[in-house]
Amino acid sequence: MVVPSRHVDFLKQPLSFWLATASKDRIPEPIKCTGIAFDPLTDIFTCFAPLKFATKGIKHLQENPVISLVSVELHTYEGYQYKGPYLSHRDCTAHEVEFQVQYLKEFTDTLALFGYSASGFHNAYFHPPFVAILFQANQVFDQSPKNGTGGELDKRQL
Amino acid sequence: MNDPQVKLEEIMPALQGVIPAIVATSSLARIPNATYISQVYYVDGNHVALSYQFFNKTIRNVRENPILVTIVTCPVEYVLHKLTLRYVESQTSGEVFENMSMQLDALAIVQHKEGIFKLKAADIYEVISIEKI
Amino acid sequence: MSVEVENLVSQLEEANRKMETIRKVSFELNRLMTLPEKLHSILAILSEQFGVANSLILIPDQNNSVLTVFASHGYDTSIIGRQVPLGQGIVGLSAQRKKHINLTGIRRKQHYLATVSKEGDLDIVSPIGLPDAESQVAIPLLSNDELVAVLMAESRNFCVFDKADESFLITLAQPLAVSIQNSMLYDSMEEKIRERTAELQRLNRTKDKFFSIISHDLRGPVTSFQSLTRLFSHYNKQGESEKIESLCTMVDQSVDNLNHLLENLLDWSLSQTNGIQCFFERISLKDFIQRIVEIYQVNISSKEIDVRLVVGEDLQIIADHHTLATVFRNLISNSIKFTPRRGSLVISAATNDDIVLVQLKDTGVGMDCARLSTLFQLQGQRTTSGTEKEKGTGLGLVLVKEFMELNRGKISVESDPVTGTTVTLQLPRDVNR
Repeated sequence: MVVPSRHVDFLKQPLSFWLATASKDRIPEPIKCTGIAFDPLTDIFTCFAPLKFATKGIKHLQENPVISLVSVELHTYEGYQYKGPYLSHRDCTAHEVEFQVQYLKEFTDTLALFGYSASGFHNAYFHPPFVAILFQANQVFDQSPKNGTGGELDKRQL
Repeated sequence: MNDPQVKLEEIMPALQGVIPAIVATSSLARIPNATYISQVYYVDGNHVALSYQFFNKTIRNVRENPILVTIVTCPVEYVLHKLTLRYVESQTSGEVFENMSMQLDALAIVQHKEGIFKLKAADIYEVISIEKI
Repeated sequence: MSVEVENLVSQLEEANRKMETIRKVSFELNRLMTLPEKLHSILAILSEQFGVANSLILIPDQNNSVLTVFASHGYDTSIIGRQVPLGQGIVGLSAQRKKHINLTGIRRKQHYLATVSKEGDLDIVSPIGLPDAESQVAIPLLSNDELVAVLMAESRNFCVFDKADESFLITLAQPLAVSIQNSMLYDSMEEKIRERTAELQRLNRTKDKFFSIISHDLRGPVTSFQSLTRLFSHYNKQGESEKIESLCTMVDQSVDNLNHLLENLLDWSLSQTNGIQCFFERISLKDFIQRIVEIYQVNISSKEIDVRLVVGEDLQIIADHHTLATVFRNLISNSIKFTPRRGSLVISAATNDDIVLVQLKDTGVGMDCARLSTLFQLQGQRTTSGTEKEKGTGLGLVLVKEFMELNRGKISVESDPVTGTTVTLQLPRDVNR
């Protein structure tokens, strides 16, 4: 498994999540992610996103099934990027929608501490219906901002 | 060509670095990469600039595949706009570089860290399209 | 169509607003007023036109090393006088590089920098204005590329100063700079006029005193000579030689008095025109004072005043002979003038490290507090007659103080109508030149 075990707890926080895809013509696409679920036994990420943000990305994944997920902690800027092959996507379950509601509340409340508008962000991101995109991470990169950042995590560091 | 409905000047508040922007690039091998940046700087009606402080995957990707897509957020209306950009050049002098440098210096000086945060270059991008999402 | 019309209307309103601001600002800028008034006026207009709650104007010092807050709007008055070095903070950097800065989202950006570089302690320079500003714009006001002032505006909200606002302020920067310079010039000219007026007033007082002395105080003795010569003639005709003898004594005294007055007048006019040149030499104090006392022996004897010298034989000081002699002559003649018949004057000297303290203590009529407080002032001088109607010009003590200062000494006086007057002189025992 490539994802370090200490990331399990890290990923449970209300981090900022974004996905990225690329078309076969190498046009990239960022997708706002409104929550994730991570299975440490399989290194499979289930990423939730509003369908209206994910439509183009999903098309990309049909022709180029590679996806990246970046997750950043808002106070410390600790961040990681997980890359791997796209597995599948589907509509979110009611439980998963509920999870996203909860995640967005915690996420926007954290942003409000920085002086931003929680409701502003909520209105920007909360757009049902939602989809769940699954992929398996086979690479993890450290994105905490510093010189020499972006290095792939040594498997021995796990 | 810009989308005639949205001009860069109309989304100026989103280009002030109040809310960080997400930037997505792709390598030649079609591996996507996403990262946060502090600010997308306005240059003129058709161009923006990103700061190059240290070499990373984004810079490497853009040097081999010049298309970059970023999503900026307006800190007043909280509206999202997706900008599709094409890398033009890196400037290490000139008005854009000087202004970006000075903004960085102004913040760093307050923390006595002038030497630590040095702008290597101002990467200039042409705006291909702007889309409200 | 209506959206386009709405946009046009809004642009027109914006243009009108800007024209109105330019008109108001131009009107205010052209008015001649002091610098503080000018700066407050500028901030008030900008606040009204831009709706900015907090703004400052800072002025650099002559070395262009530090900026000082001269005017503020929206802050506590204690912010006036606060300083920031050039190059420090957003305002200092803008001033140093003579370029405008417009930043927003400041707190997040600061947080990012602080988090990302963990080198050393987070030692943040206190901002000059709001501690939690999110938006800040700093515009250097230049005239002929010289930094005249810096205008700073800030807010706790995001994106308060857009590009249009920034451009507008930059457009106003040059006329603002010139206008501020004009006020500075106006203020410095006012200051120069005040100084010249004060100098002229001082010279006027000197001239008035001069004329007053010449017309009153010197005429007296000269007139008395007339009566004396008539008396001489009369007694000569009468053959009353003893009376002639006593007249001669009176003439002597009058001439001495006149001499004394004329010397003081000359010294004083020299000191007013900075003509006094001091030559410092070693002086044997006892002999020096003794010789001066002898000048007044006739008066001392005629008033039967007991004069005693308690000064060490080998006590020496470094002083200028002429000016110190003037000091002692005036003090001793004053003591004699104001001590009643059979009074006493004790002149003593003591040393204390590298100072010599000389005291002149008389049993004279003394002075009240009011008189004491104006003792060394020219304006406070009025001729005071002695106990036996001796005359003076009142210049003497003014000279004494000035000349003590020239000799790097000090003078203090204690007096009351019961015990008399004690004058204490402090002189350096050794003067480094």
